[in-house]
Amino acid sequence: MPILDLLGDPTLFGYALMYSLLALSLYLTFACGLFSLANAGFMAIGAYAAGLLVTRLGVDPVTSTAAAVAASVVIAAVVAAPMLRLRDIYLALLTFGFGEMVYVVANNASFTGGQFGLSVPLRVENWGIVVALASVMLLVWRWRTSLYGRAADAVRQDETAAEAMAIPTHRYMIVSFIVSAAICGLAGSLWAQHTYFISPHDFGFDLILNLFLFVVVGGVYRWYGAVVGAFGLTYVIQALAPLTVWRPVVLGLIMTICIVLLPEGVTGFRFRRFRRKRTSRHGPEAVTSTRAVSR
Amino acid sequence: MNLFLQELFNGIVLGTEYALFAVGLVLIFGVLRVMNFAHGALFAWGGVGAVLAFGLVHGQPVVVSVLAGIIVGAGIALVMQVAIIDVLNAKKVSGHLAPAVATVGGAWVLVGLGGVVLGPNPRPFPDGVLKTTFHHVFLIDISVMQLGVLATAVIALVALDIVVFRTRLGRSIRAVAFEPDNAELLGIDVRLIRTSAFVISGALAGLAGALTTLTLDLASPYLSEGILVKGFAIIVLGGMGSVRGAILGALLLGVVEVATVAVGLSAYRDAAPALLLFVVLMLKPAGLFGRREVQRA
Repeated sequence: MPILDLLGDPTLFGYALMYSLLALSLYLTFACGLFSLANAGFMAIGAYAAGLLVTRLGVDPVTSTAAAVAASVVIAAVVAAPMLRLRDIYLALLTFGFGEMVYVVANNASFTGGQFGLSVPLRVENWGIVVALASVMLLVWRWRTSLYGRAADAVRQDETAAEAMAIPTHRYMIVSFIVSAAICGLAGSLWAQHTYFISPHDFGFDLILNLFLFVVVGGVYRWYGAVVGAFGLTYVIQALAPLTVWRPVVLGLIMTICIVLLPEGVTGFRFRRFRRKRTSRHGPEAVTSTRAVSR
Repeated sequence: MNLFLQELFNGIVLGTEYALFAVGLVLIFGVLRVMNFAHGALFAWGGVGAVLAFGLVHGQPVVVSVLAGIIVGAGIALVMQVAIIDVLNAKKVSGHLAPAVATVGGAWVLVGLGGVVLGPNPRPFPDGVLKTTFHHVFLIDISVMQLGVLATAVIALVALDIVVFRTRLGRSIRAVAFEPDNAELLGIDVRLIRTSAFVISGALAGLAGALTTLTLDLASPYLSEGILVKGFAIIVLGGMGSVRGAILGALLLGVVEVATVAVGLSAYRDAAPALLLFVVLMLKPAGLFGRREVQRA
């Protein structure tokens, strides 16, 4: 049974776990209304920080991961304030430019190994990634139902109204952005120490698009949507491998149909017939909006 | 001095191709408020159409190719509008995210189909049909193809400018871009205007793709990604939603790119747009030629 082989494949499971981490980081910024695409860049920073520490200094996995997270957080803290002056498409493009610049540096600098990449010994097994993902999921779940999570939701739905309710919107956005970068750094460090080899191409435009699809297909409506999307799509993409050249066509069709039929993602699907008129905990508005609908 | 003029000219030719691509992106963002990730795929398909149609009609193969590129681009845009954007609008989906992701899916389908049609390798035109002869004109070397591309692109851009700023259709397009609800109240068929904006944008992308394919002498669906990044950089440089700003931004990017290669930094050629994008947005978020959009509460 090829499907069963797929489900029992430890390599694929590892990738699904790491994609889930990245998708959660993207969800954190979406959840407070930030349309940020800097995740691949922060992941690359974490991956190279950890990879270089391991190959050059032989640091143990825990220390190198902590250092990778710290590197992403420091850089995020520096760029957050000027970046978050922008909103919507402008922020998306600026953060996208940031990712491209990280890519260009990684591709051309000598200490990163340039386009030939960096070989890193295997230091992290799947169970390590499971632990990391479980901790991050716990964190996101607690955050979502806490005062901060609700405040972030208010910011996403209407920034002006949230500000009027004495919510320090700008500060929440910056904190979300930095925490999201920290998760990316964590994922990058695990990626570097799990996949034997990192190259700038791992963190390019393709990765951003994939994460985007994971989160939106999974649904921004529930916090676990990102994980559902990442896991589901990782396996679906792999299961479609026998289609060879037709795979991107079929995959694109699935994505498009999924978005058109379920714009709130698979976890946003509501059984209207059974649950009448009960508004969601996170507000009735469609969460595919990164901005308040107030007109 | 010769070299400088030569590079400037090459940069301008490249810039007009970029301009054709970027104005379409601006149009669709301004009128539909959609970030179209499939615009690069429309561009690539314009090139695919140009290569496939080459030689179908005897006499004027290049003209037929260019027309094929335009038709392919416009056709795909029409299909996307009907199959994706109209459906999402009918469901009253708000925000940028869902339509943007749907266009990502569309781009995958188009690039994948391009790979199926052309195979994995870029497809050149049949052997030797595009003879590139350079003529020495006033200190610089110019090929007939470059002149043709430049002329076609300039005509198309001027025509677009006239349509947008001088005709009834253009006035409706600008009204819808400014405020769709008010436009609707004034009796403008918003859906029709949006569809025509998408089709015009697709036709421009197809034209840009056909012209680029003619200058490069190859077509490939995988051209889509690189040009998309450049297109985003250009519309930011020019200020979102400004057609004339996008044209200036495209020319600037073309010249900067050629200059990067000319001074021996060819490894950084593709970094130029990203760097420009980042610096401009950090320092002047409204773009070089744009006005700050009034934020509506």
